[in-house]
Amino acid sequence: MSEAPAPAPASEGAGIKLSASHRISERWLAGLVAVLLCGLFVSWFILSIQLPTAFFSDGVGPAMFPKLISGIGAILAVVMLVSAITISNRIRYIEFGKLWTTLGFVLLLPIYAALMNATGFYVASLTSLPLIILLAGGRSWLMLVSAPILFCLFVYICFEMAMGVPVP
Amino acid sequence: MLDNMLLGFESIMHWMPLLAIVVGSILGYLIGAMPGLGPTLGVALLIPFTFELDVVTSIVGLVSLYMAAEYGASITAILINTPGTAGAVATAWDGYPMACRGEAGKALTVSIVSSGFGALTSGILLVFTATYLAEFALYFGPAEYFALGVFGLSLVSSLGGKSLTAGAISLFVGLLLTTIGLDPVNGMPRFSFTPDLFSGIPLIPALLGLYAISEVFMMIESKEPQRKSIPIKGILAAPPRLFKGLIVTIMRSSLIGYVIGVIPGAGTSIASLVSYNEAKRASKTPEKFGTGAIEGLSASETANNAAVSGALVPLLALGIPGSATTAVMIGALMIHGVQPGPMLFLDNPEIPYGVFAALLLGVFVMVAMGLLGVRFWIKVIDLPRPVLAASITGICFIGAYSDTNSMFPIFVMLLLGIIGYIFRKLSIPLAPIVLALVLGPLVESSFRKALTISDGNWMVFLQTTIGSTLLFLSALSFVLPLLRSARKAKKDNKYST
Repeated sequence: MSEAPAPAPASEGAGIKLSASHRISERWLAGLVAVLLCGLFVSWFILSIQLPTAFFSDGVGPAMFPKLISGIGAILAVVMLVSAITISNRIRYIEFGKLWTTLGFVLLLPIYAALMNATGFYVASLTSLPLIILLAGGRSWLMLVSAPILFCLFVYICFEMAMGVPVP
Repeated sequence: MLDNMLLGFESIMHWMPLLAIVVGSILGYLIGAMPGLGPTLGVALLIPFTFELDVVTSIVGLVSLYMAAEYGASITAILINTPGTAGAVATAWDGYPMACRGEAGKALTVSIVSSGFGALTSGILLVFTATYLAEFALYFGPAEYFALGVFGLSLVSSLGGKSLTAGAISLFVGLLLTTIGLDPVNGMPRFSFTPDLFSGIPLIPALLGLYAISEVFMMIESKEPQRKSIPIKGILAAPPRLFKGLIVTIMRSSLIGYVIGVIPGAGTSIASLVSYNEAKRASKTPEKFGTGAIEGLSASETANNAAVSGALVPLLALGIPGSATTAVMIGALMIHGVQPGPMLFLDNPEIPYGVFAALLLGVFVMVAMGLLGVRFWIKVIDLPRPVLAASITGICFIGAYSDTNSMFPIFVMLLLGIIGYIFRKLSIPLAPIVLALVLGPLVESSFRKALTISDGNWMVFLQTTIGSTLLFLSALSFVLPLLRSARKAKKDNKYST
C-alpha cells in the first residue's frame, strides 16, 4: 500500500539535484528508527516485568500481553536494523522536500496546542493558521488573512451554533 | 411478515417521520464529515430533540443520522485523507489517491452509490433475518471474539505493503500502544504515566494524527503542482457501466458488513477492513489497492454502511447494543418507554418494522443527497493547498479535542502525526497500526477472559465451530499472501537469470 511517496531513486551517477541537507540516506534513517524502536520495545519489556503475572481469578495476568508484544517487537526492530545495515549497494535517499519548513511545522504544532490551551481555539487559530499557510507556501496577503477568519467563522457556525459542540 | 412490513411503511408515511429521515440524513452527513464527532456523538446530540416526538419518528431520525454519518465520514476520508470515523479508514486508502489525481467526484460517487447499495442490501437482509441472526450473535463468547480479532489482525499480511517486516513492525507498534491504559480484565493501570492515559490511547485522535496530520506534513513539503478536480458533467461523476464491474464486490461486501455488524462490538471498522481485504484478495489487480482502486473504495464503503443495519439486529431483537451508537439508541428507546428485545416484535411491531421501512426509504434519500452534494464537496479539494493544510490542521484539533473535551488527545494526535510522517517517509505502512488499535484490545481481553472461563485450557479456542473456523481462516489469511509473494519472487528470479 503506497501511502508515502517512493523514496528517491538510487544515486547512480546522476542522482537528485538537491543539497545534501535535504536528503537522508534511507539506510541511516531506517537504522535510527530501528534503534529507537528497539529501545522502546526493550523499555516496554522491562516495565512489563514489574506488572503482576497471574492473579487468583485471572490466569494470564496483565503482564503477558505487553511482554509478548514487546519481545516480538524488539526482535522485529533488530531485523529492521540488520536489513538497514546490510542493504544492497545501491544507496537510496529519502527526500525531505523542504526540511526547514517541515521542522518549523513540527515546532509550530505544540505551540498552537499550548496557545489553544491558554487563549482558546479562535485566538490560537487566528494566530497560528496564517503561519501554517505561510509554511505550506501561501504568500498572498488575502489568503493569509481571510482564510483563518473564514475558517473560524465556519467552525463557530457549524460546531458551536448548529451542533452545540464545544471547541477548546 | 408482509403485514408487519406494510404496518412499518404505514407508520412512517406521515410528514413527521419523513421529515425526520431527511433531517437525520443531513445532520448525519455533517456530523460524519467532521472528524472526531462521529455517529455516536451525533445520536447523543439529537436525542434531546426527540423528547417531544413519538417513538417511531424519534428512532427513524436517529437511524437515518447513523446511516448518513457512516457515509459522511468517507467525504473527508476521500477529499483530505482524514477519516471521519474508524469505519472510513479503509475508504481513505483508495479514495484519497483518487482525489489526488483529480478523480474526487468519481470517488465520492462510487462511495455514495456503494454505500447506498450496501445499506439497501443489508436493509433487505435485516427484514428477513433479524430474529434468526440475533441468535447467531449470542454464540459469540470470548473465544469467538478472540478468533475474530486474530482474523482481523491476520489482514496485516495483505495490508502490510511490500515488506512484511515493515508491516509487522507497524502492527506491533500499534499493539504496544493498546497496552497503555487500565488493564481490560482487572482494571489496574498499565504504562499509564499520567491519569489522562487511564483510558488508553484515544482512537480517533490517533487516526487523525496518523493520517491527517501526517498528510499535512506531506502537503507542506510537496513541490508537485496541485491537481484540480475533473469537472463533473451530468448527474453522475462516474459512468453507470463502472458499477456493473462492481456488482460482485458490492454484494460480497454487503454480506460481510451485515454479518460482522450483527456481532456486538465488532463495528463498522472491522467490517470495512475485512471487506477491503476480501476485495483485494478476489481482485485481478490486487497491486492497485492502496493507489486508487475503485474496488477497494467500494468494498470499504459498502461494508461500513451494511454494518449499520447489522448493528440494529442485536439492538432490536435482543436489546443488546451492536455498537457504541446503538448503545446510545437504547437510551433513546428507553426514554420513550420502549424496551427493545424479542417482545418488541410482538408488542410494538410498528417500531422495528418502522425502522426497517425507514432504512429502506432512507437509503434513497441518502444517495440522492449524496449525489447532489458531490459537486459541492469537490470544491473543497480545489482550495489552495496552503489553505487546505491549515484547515485540516484546525479541524483535526477540534476533532481530537471533541473526543474527551480535553487537550491531552491533541498532544497524542500530534505525536502520532510525527510518527505517521516518519513511517510514511520510510514506506512503513500505517494500516497495520490501525488494525492493531481497533483489534488489539479485543484480542487481549477476550483471550484472557476465555482462558479464565476455561480454567486455563488452551483448547477452548478450538472447541467451537465459529472459533476454530475463524482461526483456520486467519492462518490461511496470513500464510497465503506470503506464499504468493514467495512464488512471485521465485518467478521473478527465474526470469532474471
